[in-house]
Amino acid sequence: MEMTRQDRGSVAVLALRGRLDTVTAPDFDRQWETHVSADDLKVVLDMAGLEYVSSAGLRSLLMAGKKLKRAGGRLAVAGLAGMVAEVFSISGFDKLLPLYGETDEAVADLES
Amino acid sequence: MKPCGLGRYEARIESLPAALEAVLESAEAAGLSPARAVQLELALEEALANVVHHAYGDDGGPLDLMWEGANGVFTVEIADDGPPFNPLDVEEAPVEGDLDDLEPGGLGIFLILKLADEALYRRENDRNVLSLRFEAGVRTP
Repeated sequence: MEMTRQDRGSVAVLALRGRLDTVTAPDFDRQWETHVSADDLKVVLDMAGLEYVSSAGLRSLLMAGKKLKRAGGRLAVAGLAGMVAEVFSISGFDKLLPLYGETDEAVADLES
Repeated sequence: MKPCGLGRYEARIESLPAALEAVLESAEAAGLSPARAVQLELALEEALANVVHHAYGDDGGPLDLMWEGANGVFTVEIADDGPPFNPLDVEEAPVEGDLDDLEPGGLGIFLILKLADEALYRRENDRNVLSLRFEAGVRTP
């Protein structure tokens, strides 16, 4: 699991690559702490490069989303495809977090 | 690559990649499509994670796998020596409602039940055995 950050105006876009599973969920948690500061209130997770997610990964996403919301922020998700989109749909995560086809759409919506 | 095999692993998170890879190689040889194989991979990861997190105390213990593919059906059995525990009795449901109200709970068993064509638990020779069955066609959960 790799996470890279790119700033788009007031929005932090975090691009995920690889697998978000039982083994790598702790990597997500650590990298989130590294990349997201208390000042970041608008975050988009770009998942186009994410190949695989399991329940451990969903748990990490849920914790990150809760933390951001408690701080008054918003988390959006873009670029779901393949099995990751399927797992979001089965688990109900597709209704829990706002989903966008493209990162640009998510950024525009959070900026507005 | 034969579409069957068995393996004994330490019930630790670090064992998961090798265990999953061994079973998935066979699943491919047994003719499961990539889309179905990833459904198997997810259900199996959830079952293995369950053993790793719950079967043993700090000392750990073995995690045994036996798998076989034949006639368009792939079966994998996961066994541990922990106290009797039927994971299929755990009730889980999709997440619902608002982020604030949700507690990070289990979704693993729910995913297993959605993705496998059949999931059966039995207690056999003082072991927990979970048997998962996957037909080759992609399941639309």
